[in-house]
Amino acid sequence: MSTTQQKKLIQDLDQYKYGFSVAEKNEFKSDKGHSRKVIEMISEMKNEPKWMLDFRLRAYEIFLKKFMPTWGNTDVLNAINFDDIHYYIRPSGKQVNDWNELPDEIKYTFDRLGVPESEKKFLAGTGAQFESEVMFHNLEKQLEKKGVIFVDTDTAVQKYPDLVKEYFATVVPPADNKLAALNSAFWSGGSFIYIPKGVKVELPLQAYFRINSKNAGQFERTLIIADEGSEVVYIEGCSAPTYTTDSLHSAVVEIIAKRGAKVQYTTVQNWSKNVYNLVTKRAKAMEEATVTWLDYNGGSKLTMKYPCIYLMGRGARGEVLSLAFAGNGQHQDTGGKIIHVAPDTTSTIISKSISKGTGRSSYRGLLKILPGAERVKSRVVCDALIINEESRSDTYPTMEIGEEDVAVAHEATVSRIGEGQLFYLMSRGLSENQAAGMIVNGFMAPIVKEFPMEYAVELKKLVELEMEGSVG
Amino acid sequence: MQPLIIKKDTTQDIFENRLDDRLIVLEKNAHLRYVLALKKGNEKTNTMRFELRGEGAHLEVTGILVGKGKEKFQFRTEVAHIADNTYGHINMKGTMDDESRTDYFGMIQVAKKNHGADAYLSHHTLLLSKKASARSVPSLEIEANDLKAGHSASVGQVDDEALFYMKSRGMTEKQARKMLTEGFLEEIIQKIENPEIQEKARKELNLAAC
Repeated sequence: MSTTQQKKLIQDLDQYKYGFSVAEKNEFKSDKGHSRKVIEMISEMKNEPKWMLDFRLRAYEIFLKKFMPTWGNTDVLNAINFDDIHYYIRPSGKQVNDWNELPDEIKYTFDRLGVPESEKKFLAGTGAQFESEVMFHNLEKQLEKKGVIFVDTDTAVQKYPDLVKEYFATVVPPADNKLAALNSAFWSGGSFIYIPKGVKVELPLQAYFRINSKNAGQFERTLIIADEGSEVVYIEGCSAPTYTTDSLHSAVVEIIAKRGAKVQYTTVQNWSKNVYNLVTKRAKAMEEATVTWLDYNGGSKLTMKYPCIYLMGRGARGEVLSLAFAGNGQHQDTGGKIIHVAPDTTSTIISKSISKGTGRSSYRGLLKILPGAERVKSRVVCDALIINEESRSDTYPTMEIGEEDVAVAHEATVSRIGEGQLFYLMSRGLSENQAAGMIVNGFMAPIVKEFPMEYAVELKKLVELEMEGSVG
Repeated sequence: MQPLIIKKDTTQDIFENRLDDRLIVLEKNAHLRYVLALKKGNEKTNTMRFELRGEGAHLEVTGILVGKGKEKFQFRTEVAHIADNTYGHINMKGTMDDESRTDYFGMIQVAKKNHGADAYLSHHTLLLSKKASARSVPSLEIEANDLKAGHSASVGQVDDEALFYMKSRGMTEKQARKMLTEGFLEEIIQKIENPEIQEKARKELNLAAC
C-alpha cells in the first residue's frame, strides 16, 4: 500500500465516528463456523418451541444446498468465509427497559451512538440490539394499552406464538435465497411489531443494531404486521466498530400491510467498512395499503439489498426511495423491486447514488406487472453522481410488463458535478469543497427530506464529511 | 465473429430487417447510422455489439419494431465507449400486438479513463393487446466521470384521451388506433437522417408516409 493510500485509509477510518468498540463481556459466544449443533444450541439457550427449531434446521439444509448469487459483486461475495464467523454471541446481562440498568459497556456504546437521546426526543418505542441479542426494549405505555406490540422477535416467539406462527416466513421463505436461508437458520433478535386495527402510531418506533466483536455474524429477523387501517413508521439504524477482519450482517425483514394500512420502513445503514451487509427485505401490501421503504446505505464493504413490495390488493401503493453513498473501497449494490399483482396499483422507485473515490454504486431493480394487473401506473427514476475519475456507477433496471393497460416509465442519468455549477458557487465566494458539498447535498435533497428531521441533519453532516477533500 | 469495421473518417448507413449477431467497430471519427426495421422476430437472443474504439466515433442506432402474431424479438445491444469523445445514441420504439413480445437488454459501457462520452439509450413500447408483453432492461456501466449518460424506457398503451379526441372528430376506433400507433413509430422514423432509409423502413413495416 502506498503512503497516499495509507493516508487515505486512515482518513477514512477517522471519519467514521462509530468505529469504536468496547471490551467484550459475553455470556456465550459460539465457536467460529456453522453447524446443526450451533443451531440446536441457539434454540436451546432461547428455550424455543420445537416448531421453531425444526424451522431452523430445515432452513439450514436449504442454506447448505443453495449456491451464492451469481450476479452482483461475485468477487466479494465469494470471498466471504462462512467458517470464519461467530454465528451467535450473547452479551452478558438481561434485556431491560431502563438504560441505567444496562451493563456499563453496552450503556456506554448506545450513549455514544445517541440512541437514548433520540428516544427521549422523538420516538414512541425503542429497541437496541447488541451482537445477537436485544438488550434494551421500551414502548410508550399508552401504545401498549392500545394493543400495540413492539418486542424483540425472540420474545414474540415466547409470548405471541400464534401471531408468529401465522406470519413468520410467509413473505420471505427460507428458500428465497442462500442468505435468507442462513438467516432463517441462525436468526436472533430483530423487532416484532403488531399494530392493531385502526391504531395510528404517531411517533416512530426505532431499533438500533450494533455489532461489537470481531468476525461477528448478526442475523436479526424483523416482522411487522400492520392490521387494517393502522399506521406505523419504523426506523432502523446500525453501526459497528472498524476492524481489519470482516463481519457479516444478514437480516430478513418481512412486512405485512393489511387493507388500508400504511407502513414506512426507514433504514440508516452505517456499518463500518469491514461489514458485509446482505439483506432480504420484502413487504406485502393488501388492498388500499401503502408501503414505503426509505433506504440510506452509506456504510459497509459490500451491501446487496433490494427492498421489495408485492402489491397484492386493488389500490395498493408501493414506494422505494433509495439513497446510496459509496466511498473508497465500498460497493453499494442497492435498488428496489416492485411486483404489481393486483389492478389499480401504483408504484414509484426513486434512487440516487453517489460514487466517490474508488467507490462503486449499482442500482439493480425490478418492476414487474403481472397479466391482469390493469390500470397500473409506475415510475422508476435513477440518478447517479460520479465524483472522481476512478469511481464507478452501474444501472441495471429490469421492467417486465405482462399487461397492456399500464403506464410505466423509467429514466436514468449518470453525471458528475458540473464545472459550471462549481464555477458559479465559487465565484460567489465558496471554496471548491464547500461548493461540491453543496451540490451533492442538493442532489440528495429530494430523498433526504423524507427522513425524520434528526436523521436528515445527520445524513447531511455525514455526506459533508465524506466529501471533504474529494475534489481538486 | 469477424467484426465489421467502419473505417476512419467515413460515414456509413446500414439498414437491416432481421435480427442477427453483430460486432461492429468504429474507428476514429467514423460515423455509423444503423437502422433496424423489424417485423420478424427470432428464435433465440441475438447480440449486437458496437465498439467505439476511435476518438470521435459517432453511432446512431434506430430500431423500429412492429410485433404481430406470436413474433418474439429477443435481443441485446451493447455499446462500448472505449475512446475519448465518442457518441452513441440508441433509440428504439416498438408496437406489440396480438401475442407478440419484446425482450430487450440494452447495455452502455463507458470504460475507465475515457473522457467526453455522450451515451444515451431509449426504449419505448406500446402494448396493443392483452396478451402482448415487454421486457426491457436498459443498463449502464460507467467507469469514468467526465461524461453524459442516461437512458429512458416506457411501456404503455395508446393514449385514451387522444383516442377519445379523434373519435369525437368522427374517426372510427380502428382508424384512430392505427393513426396513433403509426404516429408513435413515425416519430423516430423521421429522425433517421437519410430520407431513402426512412422510406425503406416505412415500406418494410407497411407504414404510411406522413
